[in-house]
Amino acid sequence: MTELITKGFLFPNDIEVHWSLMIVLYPYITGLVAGAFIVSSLYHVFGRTELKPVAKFSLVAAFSFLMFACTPLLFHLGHPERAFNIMFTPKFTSAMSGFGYIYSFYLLLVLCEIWFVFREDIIRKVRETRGIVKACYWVLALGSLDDSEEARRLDHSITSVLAAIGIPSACVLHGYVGFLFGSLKSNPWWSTPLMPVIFLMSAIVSGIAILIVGYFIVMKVRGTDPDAACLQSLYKYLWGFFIIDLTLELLELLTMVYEGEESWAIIAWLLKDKLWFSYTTVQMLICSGIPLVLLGLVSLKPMDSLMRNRLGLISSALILLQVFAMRWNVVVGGQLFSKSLRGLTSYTPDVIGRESIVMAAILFIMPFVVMYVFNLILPLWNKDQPESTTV
Amino acid sequence: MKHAGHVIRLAVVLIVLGVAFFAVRSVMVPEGFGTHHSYTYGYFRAASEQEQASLAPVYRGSDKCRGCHEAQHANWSQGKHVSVACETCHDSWQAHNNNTKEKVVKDSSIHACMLCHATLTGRPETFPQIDTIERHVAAKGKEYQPGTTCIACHQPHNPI
Amino acid sequence: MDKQRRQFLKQACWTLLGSGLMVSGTISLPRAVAAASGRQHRYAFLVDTHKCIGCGRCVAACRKENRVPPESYRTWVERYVVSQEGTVSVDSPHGGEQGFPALSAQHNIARAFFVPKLCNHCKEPNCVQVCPVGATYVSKDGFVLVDERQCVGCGYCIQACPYGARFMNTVRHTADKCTWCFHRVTKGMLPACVLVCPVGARQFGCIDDPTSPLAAVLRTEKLQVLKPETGNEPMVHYRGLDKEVR
Repeated sequence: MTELITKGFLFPNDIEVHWSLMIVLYPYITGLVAGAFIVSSLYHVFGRTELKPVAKFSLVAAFSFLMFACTPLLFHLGHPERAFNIMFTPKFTSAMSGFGYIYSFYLLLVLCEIWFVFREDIIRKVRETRGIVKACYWVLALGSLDDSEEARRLDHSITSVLAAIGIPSACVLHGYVGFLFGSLKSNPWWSTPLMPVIFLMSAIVSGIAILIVGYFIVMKVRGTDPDAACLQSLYKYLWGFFIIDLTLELLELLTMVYEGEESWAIIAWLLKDKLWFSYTTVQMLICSGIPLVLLGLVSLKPMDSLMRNRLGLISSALILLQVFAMRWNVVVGGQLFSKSLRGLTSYTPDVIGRESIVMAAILFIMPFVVMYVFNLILPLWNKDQPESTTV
Repeated sequence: MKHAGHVIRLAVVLIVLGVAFFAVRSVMVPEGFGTHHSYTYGYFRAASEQEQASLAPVYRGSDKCRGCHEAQHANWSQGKHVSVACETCHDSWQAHNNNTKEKVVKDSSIHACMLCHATLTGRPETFPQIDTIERHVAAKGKEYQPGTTCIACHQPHNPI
Repeated sequence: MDKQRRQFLKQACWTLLGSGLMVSGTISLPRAVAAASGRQHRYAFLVDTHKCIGCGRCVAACRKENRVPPESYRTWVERYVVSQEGTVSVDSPHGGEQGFPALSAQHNIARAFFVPKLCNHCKEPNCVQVCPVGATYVSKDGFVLVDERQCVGCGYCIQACPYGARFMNTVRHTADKCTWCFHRVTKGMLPACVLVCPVGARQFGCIDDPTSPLAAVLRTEKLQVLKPETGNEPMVHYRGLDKEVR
């Protein structure tokens, strides 16, 4: 246990920080899910055809992160073996109770959408393989090998419907987390009606950023060039959503400063002391200021693709860091000051252990492993079919 | 809907999953779980109240001590320390009753008295406080012998 | 054959759907369950900051009575020292359990006092509102309790409490807090902290009998509560709650 550094007066029970790195990681992962899904839906629902190259990838990315979304929570709970209580006896006056059903519903929805999108490929695999593998693919196809024109058209319209339902569902899946914090009247750093929207916007931003980085890396590993029009579109969406996200974050802070409520004194101290590095320096100056400018250049100024991709990648990486810093500053930051409004405490995550840095890293890497395994079973990009922006 | 066979299959899988879940749930929800007086504040497992109520108390109150310590109890109930429960200074009935053969906790050091009666900022001025035992003894016009404790002059049960 | 198979499938689906809905309908909607007991009293707690001497006997007794793990506090005492210049310093060394040390430097002290704190057993506790699994609740008599068999240890209620009254029990890994010694009151005893207080700074009693002394005090005296702006309607009342106290 690392030494706690407390300043001022805290209520005795306020000294320890209960919601740890795992609770920082959870909204980060569900944010990536929501963001990746929105990109997928931009293609499937809003017909942004330039995003076709990443449509399948983003859907599978959403699924992979969704698979691991609940793991940080399970590692945090005092009684993870009772985790299903949230499905058996949920109390819906609690924002947290939504987790069980919203998460399950959304997981099923994404699974169904993946099934419809990949049906063609599954059926092809059934035909191309033999023995046990063939049997496995057959089960995956639910025994139906109908890939006729009519079936494909039906699949396509169902996919659009699912993607359309999926957009508000993704918003709720991540928005409820924002509401969980924003509706808590006892914590002045969390309590604001803007919180669900801030969380959602930063989620979308992180999802787009990880798709950019992921798509770029995968294409480089495969030895092909990423689709330029697709990337350019993603950079513009990233910039646009990031402007909205940053505006909301700054608006929240500005309102707090301006209103100068009783809690402002301790929050000001918090920002100057415990959160000086993670909030002011990392989240705002470096990881918001720089991408804001770079993405503006990328979106508006004509430049060669090498420079554009360099700036775009740097911006995406910084934004991924920004969103993580934002989650940290909200979740941990809100617990670093006492309800006495007179004292600050500290939090250093363990390096190893149940709620540790190593565990968080493992849980964050696992979705990429899932994507890799998924790609082995059902390729995300077909080698024989060239990348094309036409439907 | 000629080519919707695969959709039907998927729907069946989902429905089976749904029914299975609710079947499991009906078994797993504890007995007596529900809304008792209000959904927001009274949604809980009924047996919990009884479980909480049946925890064993540790402190028993000064009346309980009277059963074996009649004389001390009588002395105590006539003095200024009647507002101080027996267990405040002598630890809980449970701690003592489990070792009935051992003597009850009796701290005769200055510390036991100074915990309440030392001069301390924040204590009401009307509350009897002393700076140090030396000054207190001197103020009473007596000579302080090193090692003297409060009980040299004050009966703990009936101090004045 | 094809048509028959489809018809059969259709019927099977509807049957499954119907039975699923029936099963879920009977157990998923929250239903009023028969009251666990017929008891219906209303209780309140009164803390007199004019009387508290900061001896910490209450904190020590609570720890023993309720097996509170170390470094966690179901109740604690705070000391406030306000100087002539208006600076406020607050401390609560180990919750005041071993009393308070003498102040190191005697500034010009305008006023100083002790404030015992505990769970306020609010009438509309937002800590209960935010529990996702129905593990914390308000009993029929207004006690806010935690079902330690149901609690999953998510910690949301701990975040929600405006008073810092809740903590994570490190032995049971569930949320925990002062219960106003529910297990004692239901046997006609006083809470342990009330019992051991040597100066009567803590008082507890039934208030639904309008002739009870505590009920009269609550009705007629000018008392304060902590953080009334939360709307939680705390039931711990204070005499002499200074404006510096949060």
